[in-house]
Amino acid sequence: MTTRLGRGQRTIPLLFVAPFFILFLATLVAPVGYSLWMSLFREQATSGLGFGGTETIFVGAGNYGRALGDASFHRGFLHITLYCLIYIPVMVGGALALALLVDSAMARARKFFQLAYFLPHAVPGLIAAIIWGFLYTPGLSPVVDLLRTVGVEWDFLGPDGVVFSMANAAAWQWIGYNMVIFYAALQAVPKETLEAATVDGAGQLRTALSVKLPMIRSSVVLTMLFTAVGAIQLFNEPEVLRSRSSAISQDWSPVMYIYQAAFTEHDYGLAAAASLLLALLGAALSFVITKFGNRWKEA
Amino acid sequence: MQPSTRSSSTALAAAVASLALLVTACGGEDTATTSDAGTGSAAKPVEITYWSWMPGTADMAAAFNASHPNIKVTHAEIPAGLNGGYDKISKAVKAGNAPDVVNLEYQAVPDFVTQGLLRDSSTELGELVEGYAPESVKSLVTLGDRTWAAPYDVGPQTLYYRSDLFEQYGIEVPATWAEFRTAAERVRTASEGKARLLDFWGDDTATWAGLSQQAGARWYSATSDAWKVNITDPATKKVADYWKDLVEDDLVLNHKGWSPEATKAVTDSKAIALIGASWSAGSIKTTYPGQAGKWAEAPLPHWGTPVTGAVGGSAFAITKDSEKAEAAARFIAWATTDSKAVEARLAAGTSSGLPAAEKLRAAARSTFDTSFFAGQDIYALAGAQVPNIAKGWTWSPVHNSTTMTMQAAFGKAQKTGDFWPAFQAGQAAAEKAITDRGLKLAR
Repeated sequence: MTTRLGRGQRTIPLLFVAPFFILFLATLVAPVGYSLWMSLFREQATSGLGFGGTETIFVGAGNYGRALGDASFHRGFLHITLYCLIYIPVMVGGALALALLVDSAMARARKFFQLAYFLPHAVPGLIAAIIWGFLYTPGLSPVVDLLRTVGVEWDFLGPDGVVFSMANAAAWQWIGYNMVIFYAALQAVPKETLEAATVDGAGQLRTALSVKLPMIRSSVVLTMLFTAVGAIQLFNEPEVLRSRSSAISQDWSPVMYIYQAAFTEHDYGLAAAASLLLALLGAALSFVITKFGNRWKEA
Repeated sequence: MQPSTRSSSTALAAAVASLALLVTACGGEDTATTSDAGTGSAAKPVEITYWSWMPGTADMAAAFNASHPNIKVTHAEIPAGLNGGYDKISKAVKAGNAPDVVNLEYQAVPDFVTQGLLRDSSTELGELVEGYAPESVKSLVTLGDRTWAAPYDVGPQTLYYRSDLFEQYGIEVPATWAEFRTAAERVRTASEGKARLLDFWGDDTATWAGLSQQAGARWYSATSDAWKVNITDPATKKVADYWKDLVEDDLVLNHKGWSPEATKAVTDSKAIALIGASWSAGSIKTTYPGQAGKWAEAPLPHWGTPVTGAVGGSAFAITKDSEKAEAAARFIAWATTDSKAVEARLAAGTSSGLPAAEKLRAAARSTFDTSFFAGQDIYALAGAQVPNIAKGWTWSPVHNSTTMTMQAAFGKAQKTGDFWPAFQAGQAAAEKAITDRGLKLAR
């Protein structure tokens, strides 16, 4: 006999998880499903000149084929790959170096440095991109003028320089944030281990590289994951710099490509297909990094 | 610290998916239209809705309501055209809750028509447009012999220049492009290399379109059942080559259009002229307040006969499923041909837009303080250019995406002046976009 109590025991946990599932369904599963549906259709003109308007036709995987075959979509991935190659080593390396420095026994005024390094992160990304935009603009920027006086001609917004400029703006914003994460992880390194290292004759540098660093691996992996997944969604920096740099096209990054397909070309089928492809890549990327990271952790 | 990596990776993948999808999934807010069809009376006015992002249009709608008790216009501000406004209109039409009247830039009209967003308004607006619109803008709103929108303004291309520096460097206002080149050489020498005659916005497709139109190009045309793209025609090539030489020979600056760098060059008097259109007077006045009284406007230099191109401008259109097209047309007729409409719309005094209807230009002039241009009658000057605009220009349904491709390609030529590949890229992009949309391409 199923008692009231039995039913209650089953429904009460459901009540607790319901808010999560409702939001999960409404804000994730439903939009993904709708996009999947949208990605199967395409608007086509009904006459040669198109004055009769459009009709929606079923194209199956056609939109995926178009996105995958589009050279400007490819270029977007090339751009972010280049961006990641510059940005991730600089950002993770910088954050690690700062965290280890602040954590080292020699550091003074730790609280101050922690806060100072973190401050750039308090500036909203869009605003930061605008400020950096000014700092990169010749004629307005003291940095460009200063470089010129010492004889360096560097075009921050030119076709060669603009990826570095973007990585620089992003690194400025995220180094401090990730430093705080690494620093927090370093606090969890047991004192005894560090003492043992000292007793064994390891210096500051040796302790940092051979003891502390391996012990905060999981934080490093997590940070890399966040960073890589964030990077494939690159939008703010290039979108803001686009108004200043001729080197950035309107479809420079994959998200810009999607945005442009949807809002300039009204090609929602293509935009939906490209979004799903990007989401798949994001999922694949997090899977690979996690696997790879786990192996590193176990090593 | 030991995060559970597996679940976090799933959650992250999920987060990525939802973020990427937000781009496509959101939008399409609805604005309810009160349904009350009929001709309307003071007691029970017809209510129509009107969406626009253009400055002054809310005041204009209010002025209309004050003088027209039978029709009540509800104005709603939307984001500017390509920044989301067009998208919003298109979604609203598809969702069946579109406004009755919208504003569109001319180059968006064919795009809207082929998406099936506009009403064939030949009956409601055909006669009106025939009555006041200059030939050069009529061709922008008439497609396939049908009237789709009513022009509000017209933007003949003109030259803006610093009269004080022209005098200082001893140059006359160039009337032809040959004289323009001589003047450019003169400015460089006379300023000892500090200044150039012009900051050419070589990545601005709109400027190029106007210059090409002036030279005789017609980038797009609609044949009986297909669209023709002709961006790479000889007239455009002539224009591209002319500017290539000027950039290569370091006779003009070539900054990104509307960029802070371009603004700075003019502020510092490093560029002493700009190619603009009638409506640029307002923005030059607000952008360079320190140079008041030193600017003047002149006809655009030409290739031998006084012809000019046109840039920008917007129109009023009735949306596809509007049930109150009659009331909408009455509002549009007032907005495009009544001087009260222009006075209300331009009351802020910051716009130098030139109404398409000639009889409204006096009212428009009264709103704009021309002391920045040393009292020059810039409305008379711009108005005199309107009959000189090269006839027969039309935009195409795919011009927005073509512009993007071209702008990116122009950017690559910023230093070299090698502009021609950008036009070739534009030709290819336009042809591809036309077939992609299921339209027919004429070869």
